[in-house]
Amino acid sequence: MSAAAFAALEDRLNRSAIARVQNAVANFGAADVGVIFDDATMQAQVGGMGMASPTPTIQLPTESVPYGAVGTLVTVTDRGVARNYVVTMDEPDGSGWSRLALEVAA
Amino acid sequence: MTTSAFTGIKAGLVAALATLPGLDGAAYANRLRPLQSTKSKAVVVRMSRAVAVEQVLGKWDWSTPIEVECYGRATAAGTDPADLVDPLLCDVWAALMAPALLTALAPLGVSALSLSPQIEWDFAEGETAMASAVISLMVQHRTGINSLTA
Repeated sequence: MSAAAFAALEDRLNRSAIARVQNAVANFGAADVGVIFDDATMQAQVGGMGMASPTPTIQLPTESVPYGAVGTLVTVTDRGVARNYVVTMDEPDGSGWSRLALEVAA
Repeated sequence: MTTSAFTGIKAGLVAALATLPGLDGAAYANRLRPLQSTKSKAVVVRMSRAVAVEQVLGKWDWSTPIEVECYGRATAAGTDPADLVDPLLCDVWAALMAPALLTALAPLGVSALSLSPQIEWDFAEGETAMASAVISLMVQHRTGINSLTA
């Protein structure tokens, strides 16, 4: 199988997977895309006490991530509630899947 | 129940800092549980280790260092974390150096309050940026040699 054919197969698989496991939709200014939204709380090690904070991230097929995503605005709709975020980190895993770290937008 | 001078001093410091503007009473003593995500600012007064010498017969003259931790959290992306905690740090520093605080603590045997010229900043990022600034207060106070009260 050629590299291009393998990449096409990978994209098709990832599109199929996200259609089944998505729990939210994200919009970068164009069409909605299905994503896995996670907002787990972490404990930041600052000072002697530390601070708790949600750490919002989305996972989605890399082909759905706009070029130069870091710094762009994204609206994530989770269980009917839409919230605006700024993309702070784009971590493609090399297999057609990406994880974006988010911060709450002003 | 008898309480030591250390407990009284700690409580006096927390009470003084709890009234700072914008803090909404979020002043704690020796807290270890992380600040909940709904709170944007907080101060923690933390006791560490106290040492005394007998300069006057029958009295302990204590040097009690107390860490004062200032915490701040941004409300949106794009904020320098150091800017978050800076106003609180300035307010805390001024409150600890206010003559009224020394007067209030004098009944506990406190003779001097001094801040070490050192600040330790910590930063982190989650949903928004977070920062802490820690300063060290030295409390000079006297107790009797047979008790821990003034």
